[in-house]
Amino acid sequence: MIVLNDVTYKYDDSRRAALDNVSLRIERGDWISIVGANGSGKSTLVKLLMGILETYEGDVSINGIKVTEENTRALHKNFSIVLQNPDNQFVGATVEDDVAFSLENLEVPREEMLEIVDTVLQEVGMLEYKKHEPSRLSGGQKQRIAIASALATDPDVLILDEATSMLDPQGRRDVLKLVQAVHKKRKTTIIYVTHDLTEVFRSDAVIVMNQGQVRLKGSVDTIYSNPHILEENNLVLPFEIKISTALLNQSIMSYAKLVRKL
Amino acid sequence: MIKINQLMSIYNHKTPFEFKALHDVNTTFEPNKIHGIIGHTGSGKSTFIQHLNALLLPSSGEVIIGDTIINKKTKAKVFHKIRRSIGMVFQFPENQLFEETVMKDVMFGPLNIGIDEETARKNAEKYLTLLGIDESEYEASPFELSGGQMRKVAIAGILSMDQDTIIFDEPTAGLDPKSHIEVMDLIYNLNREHGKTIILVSHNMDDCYQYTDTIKIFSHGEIVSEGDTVDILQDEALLTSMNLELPKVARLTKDLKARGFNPNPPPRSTDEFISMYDMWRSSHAE
Amino acid sequence: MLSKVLIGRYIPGDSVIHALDPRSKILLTVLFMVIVFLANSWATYITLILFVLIVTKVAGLSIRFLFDGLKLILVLFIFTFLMHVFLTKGGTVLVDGGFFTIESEGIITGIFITLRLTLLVVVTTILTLTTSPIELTHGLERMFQPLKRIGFPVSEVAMMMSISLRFIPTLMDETEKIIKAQSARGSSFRMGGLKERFQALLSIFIPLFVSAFKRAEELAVAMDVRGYNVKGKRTSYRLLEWKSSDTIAIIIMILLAALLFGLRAIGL
Repeated sequence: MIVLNDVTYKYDDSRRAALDNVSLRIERGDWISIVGANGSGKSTLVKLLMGILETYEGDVSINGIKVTEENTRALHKNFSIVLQNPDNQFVGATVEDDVAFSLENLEVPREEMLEIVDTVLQEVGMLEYKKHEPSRLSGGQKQRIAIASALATDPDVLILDEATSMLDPQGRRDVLKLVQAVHKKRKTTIIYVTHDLTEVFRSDAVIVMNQGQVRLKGSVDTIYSNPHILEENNLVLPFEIKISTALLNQSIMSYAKLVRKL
Repeated sequence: MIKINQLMSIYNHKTPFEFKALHDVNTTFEPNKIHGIIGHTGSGKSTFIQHLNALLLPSSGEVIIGDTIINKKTKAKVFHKIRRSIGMVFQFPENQLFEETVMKDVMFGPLNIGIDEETARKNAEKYLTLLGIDESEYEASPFELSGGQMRKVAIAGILSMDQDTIIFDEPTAGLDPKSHIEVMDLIYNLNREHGKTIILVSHNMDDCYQYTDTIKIFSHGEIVSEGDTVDILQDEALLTSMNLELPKVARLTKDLKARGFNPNPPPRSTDEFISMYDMWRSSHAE
Repeated sequence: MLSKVLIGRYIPGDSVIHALDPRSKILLTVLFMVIVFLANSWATYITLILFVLIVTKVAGLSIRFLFDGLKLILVLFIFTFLMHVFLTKGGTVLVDGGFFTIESEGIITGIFITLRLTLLVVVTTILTLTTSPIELTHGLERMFQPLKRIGFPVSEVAMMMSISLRFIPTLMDETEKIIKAQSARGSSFRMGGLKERFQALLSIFIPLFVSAFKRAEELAVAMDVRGYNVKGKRTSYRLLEWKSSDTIAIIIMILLAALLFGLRAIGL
């Protein structure tokens, strides 16, 4: 369980707080989506959750232990992350080398590594690309490899920081489907950062951010039932929600139901 | 008018890395329209648009722009002439910013193609304003702007060269929803208000449906289908065979046809759908 | 044009040569380079050429393709050849142009030296064409392992090399994209005055640096959160295995050296 209590953070060169009194609670095994436009503070929140930010006001605790400068590394050890630009997170020169990178750092014996690399590549459906160089893969494939690399250490928490925003529609669908499968199978806590409201429908809870503040939080239903708050915070409503709100005065998420009601 | 005859494009000819990106492309682009180009990654559409302003030369065949012919043997001298008539906004154009100030960067292109300083500045101001970049930002470093702003400055850098035709390659990739709408509206305006011919490469079927007049579908280095946007993007069988999806508005309109909702011309955007459906519903209720 | 440069490129394959341990391939290449300097006659050079042709075939590479790749350094070959033709004296005088002469020794030495250069380039090309950069790095890391004792940061240098290799294709793509984007803005370093050309260069280098720094920054974060620690101990995913085929290859190379010594001894 991750708990943030009144966390405020300012970058050195900025007057405005990048995080402004943020409080939230992420239960183990939950899928949390953090939604916001560019500059809303969601990337700063990710850095905080990864233990990269050093000094902030307020408290952060993980599984009941307060995060301090001394124990940051230890507490964030079981966190893995997938970044926005797949090209900038590859360390290995081939797919298998990249997946093995974190394991090498953890001094996992080679025999175990071989097994883990194959297992996670199988899990993301990229086993046949084991020997490939990352530069020859499509964006969606690269992100699937990045997810495999993140899963190699069997993390408690998997953070995806706008992992789909640079992909084509097919790549987006593949990555989203894969995250669903991972969440279902491994019960990993998922923190999914996005500016696309159509990608949050599987979450247990959604947090809407703007100007460093949490503007709305709740279940997917709650979020979709507040279209005006979403629009006020520079987000674009999913097609079904926009139409049902305008024509039926209610929020309908399912396309089939929308067609029935119209 | 842009005309393409039997265009073939081969990378790394006669090496083990040889790759045929375009086979036999024949098509035309009528002026003053918004032309959409769709197709999966690797279908050849990126290669194709680079041939349109001579960034790549044909392996065989030709591209005819007005009275200029680009073929295998076209010399570098001709390139300037082509770049004065066709502009190209690449994917992630903010990666091309390099000058100390926004104004200098936007004026770089026009000065290069021989536009005089005064006109260049005027063009720059015109397009920066159109893109919503405030005058107070003109002397700022482009690297201090936000991602969305950088994208707009980069686009202004192409537009201020004032070509008749502008190619946009995935202009909204990576943008947040609000900037996405702003950029698409700008492209629409460039055509409807400023008379530019637009060639738009996009993965976004909804954008293509809402904003374009014609569509060309690329697959495996060929154009497999082309025509008016409404005809092509309502053709479910065709799109399914290409592994593409119907635009959401087109799908909903189609699914409501059986109830008698069958407007002509059909709604092209979510907002259009809402107002058309609302009207139809109230007239229906009476 | 650039796409024809072969040195440093890798073509995946499953030949015996591909499967050799990178350490033995590096060692074999070095051995061959020494052996090349043993050649001093038609018989010895022809032996070496035949050997290289056989290796090329075994590695599944096209000979024509290999020689196409040599075209780019043709100037170097011609220059070397001409230098010897004009400067080396001896044998019969073939041409007497007054202030210069061309003598038979000059022609023969010219041919030999050019052949020697060609053999050296070809064999290095074969090494990189059949060994992936990551294997080469790993092979070198292992071979230089003893240097660790005198405090040389072998693993860190290897990590740097492997990351550089990993980013070369990405940065090449990036460079090409930026050049194209700036060309579309009418920028050209082939035309205009010195000032325009200089600005055209800046318009490519500045974006390239900006993007490289951004990538480096993100990569550093990615490596950090993935637990990389310069001082930390690591295990290795890649295993180098010296197989019997490696030993056989080394023996063949020694036999080749012996053959050359033999040919020289009987005066061929």
